Amino acid sequence: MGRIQITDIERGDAGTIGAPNALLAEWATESANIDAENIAPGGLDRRNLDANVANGEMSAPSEVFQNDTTIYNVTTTTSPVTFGGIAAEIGPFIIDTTNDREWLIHVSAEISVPSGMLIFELHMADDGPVGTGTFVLLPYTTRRDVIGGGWHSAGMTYRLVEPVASLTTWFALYAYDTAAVSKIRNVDIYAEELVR
Amino acid sequence: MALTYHTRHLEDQDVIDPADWVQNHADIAGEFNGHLDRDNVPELGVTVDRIAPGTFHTVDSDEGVGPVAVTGGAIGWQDVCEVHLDVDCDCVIEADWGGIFSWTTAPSEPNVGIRLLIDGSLGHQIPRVYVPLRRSFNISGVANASRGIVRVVGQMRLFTDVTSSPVGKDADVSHYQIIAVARTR
Repeated sequence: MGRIQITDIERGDAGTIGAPNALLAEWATESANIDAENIAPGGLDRRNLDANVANGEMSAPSEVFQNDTTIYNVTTTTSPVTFGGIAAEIGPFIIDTTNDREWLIHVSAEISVPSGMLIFELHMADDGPVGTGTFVLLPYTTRRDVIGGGWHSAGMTYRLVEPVASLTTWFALYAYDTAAVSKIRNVDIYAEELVR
Repeated sequence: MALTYHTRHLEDQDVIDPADWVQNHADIAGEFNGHLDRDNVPELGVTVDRIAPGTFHTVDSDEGVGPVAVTGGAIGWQDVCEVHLDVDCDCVIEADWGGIFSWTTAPSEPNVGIRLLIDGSLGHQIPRVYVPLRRSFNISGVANASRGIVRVVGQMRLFTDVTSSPVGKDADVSHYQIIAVARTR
């Protein structure tokens, strides 16, 4: 904490410049030591904070594919989930997890697995959206579901742990099914940037 | 502060009195020494790089491909994975836990309980849900927590029929990630 100690000058003291200079030096030194202790408890409020100080702003709106009648039929090869030719993806985001930032990516969907097993995963690319980008599987996001339950909800929340600095990023949902009978609908993907 | 006026206003022809100098500095120093507030900081003046890490959020996670065993012979809730947060103020903890649940051999009436414990409190619980041989799961929970080490635990319990306590069948959890976010209150 920067703390100013007043150099007192009494009436009758010798009229030298020493004491005023000492006080001015104190200001110069201590003004460089300002920290949280100089602020009154509860002294700051929302008006003092710049935009996006606590929560980052998404660089693109989350895509929502919520329509019971629009269904993606899963294929036998790992492919991006698409609805009417539009991929279930979000981006681009400027991801930076090294500068006290955290990124959480939330995915929810509805799936139907009439037989066999559905595998769905979250993928990431740093060179373009689905169609042009090179998407890779994010670790720990593989989800496997076997037959049962008709349509049921599925989802994941993924924390991007790897340090990534200023990387332009897209996230997309991928899926495959060895029997090509599974279906996906009502997908929502959104990314949340937190400031630590 | 709000505004601090100089107590002593000096004018030409005044007799030099050191108290004028000292008092005016003391007024400002009194504010500087721990009483600065919103009036001293411009609107939108605090940018993110001026804020100490951990002020708004503390985040941690534990993840792995696994598999982590869930023992069928055990009775009741079993710890499957956990993450610890070190928070320095009272906060709200939001937790997410997801992965793939697999029975080693699926029982005839497979049911599983899934829950999140946050600092000893129940964040969220699905007491019993039908789970066939293999199914992904995702559960979110929230609870208040006090400063200190906050333990967030993902737990499961197994049922091999719709009414009884767990017996016999083993299971595991793979491709899991448990995430805890402390949001400052």
